[in-house]
Amino acid sequence: MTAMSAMITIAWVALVRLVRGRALWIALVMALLPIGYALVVRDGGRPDLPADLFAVEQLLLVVVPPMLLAAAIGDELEDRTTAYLWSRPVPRWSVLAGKLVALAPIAIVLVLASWIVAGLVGSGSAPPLGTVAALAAGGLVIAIVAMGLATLVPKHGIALTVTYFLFLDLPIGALPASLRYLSVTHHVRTLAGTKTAALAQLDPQGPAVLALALIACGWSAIALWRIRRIEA
Amino acid sequence: MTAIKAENCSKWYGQILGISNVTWTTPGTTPGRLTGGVVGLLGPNGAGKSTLMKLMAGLLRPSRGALTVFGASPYDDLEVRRRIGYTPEHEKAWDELTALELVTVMARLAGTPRTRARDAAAAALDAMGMTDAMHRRVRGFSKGMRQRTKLATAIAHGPDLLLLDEPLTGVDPVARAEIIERIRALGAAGKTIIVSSHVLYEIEALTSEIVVIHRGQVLAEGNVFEIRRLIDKHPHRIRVECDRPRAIVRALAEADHLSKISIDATSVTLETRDPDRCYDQLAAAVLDGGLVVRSLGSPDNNLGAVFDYLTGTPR
Repeated sequence: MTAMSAMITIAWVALVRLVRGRALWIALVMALLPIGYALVVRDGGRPDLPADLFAVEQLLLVVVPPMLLAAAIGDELEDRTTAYLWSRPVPRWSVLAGKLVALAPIAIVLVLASWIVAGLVGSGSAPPLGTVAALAAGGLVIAIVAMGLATLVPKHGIALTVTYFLFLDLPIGALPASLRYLSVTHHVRTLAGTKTAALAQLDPQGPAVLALALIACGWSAIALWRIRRIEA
Repeated sequence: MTAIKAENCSKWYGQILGISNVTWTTPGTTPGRLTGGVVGLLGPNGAGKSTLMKLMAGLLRPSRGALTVFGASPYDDLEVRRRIGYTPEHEKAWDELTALELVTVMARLAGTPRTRARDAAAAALDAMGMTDAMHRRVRGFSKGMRQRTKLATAIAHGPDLLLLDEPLTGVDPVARAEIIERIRALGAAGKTIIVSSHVLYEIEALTSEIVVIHRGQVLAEGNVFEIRRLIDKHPHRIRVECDRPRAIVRALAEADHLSKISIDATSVTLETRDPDRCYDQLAAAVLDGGLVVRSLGSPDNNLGAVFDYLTGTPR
């Protein structure tokens, strides 16, 4: 079996388990929350409504990818079902890659669907394409971070990832200091163009893409290093 | 080729010892022995059986020494792992999948081509008596069904070596008998099978070829009767039930190989350092005295006695 077909098989298993499990339904319900918020605030006529909705959507962004990715990897390690995988002629990276390939797109689609519907409901028009692309990129990077954290702390992968983003990444991203360049959500806001003009000048979009790529690479390296060392 | 070869193999989990300095080769390489068959890995809980199994399956890397399967390290060599079928001790599997899906996926991951994997999985489940339940999800299975499904995942890709870690744990007696029969059949078909257990009669029912492991070390290996014979510091016990046990005592009282004689109304138990000579003298005593012998046997020729001797557990 090639590494590629191992990855596809693992991706198929991850999808089946997701569809037949509870996590997908919980994520679906959570994806409805920004839409509900948009319904509540839609008649306010506030000029900052799109930015406000985007901030709410960001909360969904930091919860849904960890719910799917960190859970899939954390459960595998915690339940010791990795014993089946490690005893097969399967490269370990293919386990991570398979889960990422299967679950990250679903998490991203959920977030984007929620964002587009929330935009339509809240402001009566589809959100700008830039915001959609920013959320997609952010979803992928957050999924990779969740994957890395789940390999480090399998038992508390979801909680740790969500806590990290809610209480570290989001606040750091709001700081007027260079520390904010470590923040995924900061770069997502930069790419989405939801900042004020002054701040947008400070943080151009090109370096934001590069920063997200670097963060993703860093966490991928951590996940791959860790998965190679884990013994069942 | 040697199926498994461990040379001074040790494994620690931090400060905790898994196995220590294990040197062992599977039967099949010794001249005069058949390739394949069942080997029982016997030891109490925490003895190091699962650690040794995981090292053989490529789940762990030795901390010191080496362990090879078919001449290569199972931890590093993907090709070798194609030839291994492993069932872990724990029950957890991908419970959301049906048994057929689970076994098919495992066969695929072990290298079975897509076109053959489903048929191979169905055949493996059929061999384990799971045909009727193969389309049901694993989540609803009993322990016996889970164990049989696990065994099917191990055999579906046709491995040369099967590593079964406590395959009979938690299984009801009927399922246990069935699983034992199926494992024995696989062994008879030429597979090399290592079965671990801490339950003596389970191993006894499977094989007489054992490896005794205790506190991370291999205490003994080989045929249970051969092992018993090698333990010369412990006298061998022979128990005779007959109509006049005192006549046997009188006939053998002077024998220098006897270390202890116990007698009751219906039987006599002799402890000897030379079983062959003892059996000869016993036969002569019975024939000369015209005794009626109801039973003759050695309480030591069972796995429990061997295990207790080797681990120093008082009987």
